[in-house]
Amino acid sequence: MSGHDAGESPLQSANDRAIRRLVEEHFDFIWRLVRRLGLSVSDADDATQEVFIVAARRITSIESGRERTFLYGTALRVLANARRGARRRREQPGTELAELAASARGPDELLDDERARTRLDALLAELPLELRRVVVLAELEELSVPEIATLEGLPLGTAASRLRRARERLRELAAEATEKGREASDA
Amino acid sequence: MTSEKDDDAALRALYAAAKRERPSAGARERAFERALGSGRAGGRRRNGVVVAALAVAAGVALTAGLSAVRRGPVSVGPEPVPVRLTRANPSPDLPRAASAAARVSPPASSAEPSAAHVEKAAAPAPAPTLGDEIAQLQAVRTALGAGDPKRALALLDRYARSTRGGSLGDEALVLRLDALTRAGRGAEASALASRFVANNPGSPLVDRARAFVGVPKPAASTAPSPTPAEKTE
Repeated sequence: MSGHDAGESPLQSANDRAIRRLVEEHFDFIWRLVRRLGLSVSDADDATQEVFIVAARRITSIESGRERTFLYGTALRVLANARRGARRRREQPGTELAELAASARGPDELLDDERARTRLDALLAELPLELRRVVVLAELEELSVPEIATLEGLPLGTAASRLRRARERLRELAAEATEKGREASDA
Repeated sequence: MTSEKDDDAALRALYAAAKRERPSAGARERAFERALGSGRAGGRRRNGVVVAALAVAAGVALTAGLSAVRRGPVSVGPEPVPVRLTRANPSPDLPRAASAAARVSPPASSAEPSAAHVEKAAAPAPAPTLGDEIAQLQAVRTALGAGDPKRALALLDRYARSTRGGSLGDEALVLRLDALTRAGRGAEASALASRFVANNPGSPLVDRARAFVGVPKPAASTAPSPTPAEKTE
């Protein structure tokens, strides 16, 4: 229960319902987004919560039809802050790919979901952020290019070309990782 | 060497695993509870104008008389002040529309720099926001205040059509009771109020609705102004 007081303003409860609707419709989207953009499960829980706290404060001023855009923009800001605040792991380029290669000892090996996600995150980590975001929106959220363009505030052509580049790069990285994995298991 | 097909299949498997991942148990509920608390605290402490507008839209003004209405409109527009996400040095990796969204867009009537392609993108139209509903009920209230209950009723019909009930359906009903009464249709108001009271015994507005049961005429509007919600904090 959310503890409604008997004397609560009726509009307050309407407000609560609007917040509830926002959380129900978009929580998973935001959570998966921040998760794939680099947060751990528990950090993603916290960051997503923060996104909805911000949204709740502004519930009456979020424009109609732009709820997702508002949440997306808020999520990226929360994420940027989380990254800045996080202990700075100085990752050398290629470290994650090397780890990935070590974990992918056979191309035919069936990976459980956990390992698959680790692999995916390692691949995504190699992409520049602007490519990473569009490919996450396209492949995981199954958004169309126009929808992605809206969220990112990009012209359609730019969104499309970023998505194309992201997919090409991911394919190259996947091939590279498989090769490295094979070399490691041959050695 | 691997083929492109193999690589694509491998990637698809990774995406599928990512799609199956779920937040921690209870994370959504916790977020809702925290958001709820924050929405209330933020609304009361930092957003008195909007909360006052909410209270007015809710029809608080109805029982206390409509004299306050004529003194001037209460803004229901979003306040332009950023909350806490604005940083001195915005991260360069933030997309333009996203940054704009996080600052909260201006009222719907004003143009936005990125609106052109946004509109072309034709995002699916979800239900109106609470802000829209409030604006619509505010217009109803203004019509009532201007002594035009017919227009108020027309606006309420439009509200009902555009929101299919909406988050503020109960509030709209109380406004309708008032509009009907002022339009000389007290019997209809009374019947509607009786039905509402019978069907919604738990509604916070039930007492307000009950006041219209068997009331043929509007109350004299010389009562003091309603207490704005901001004074309650």
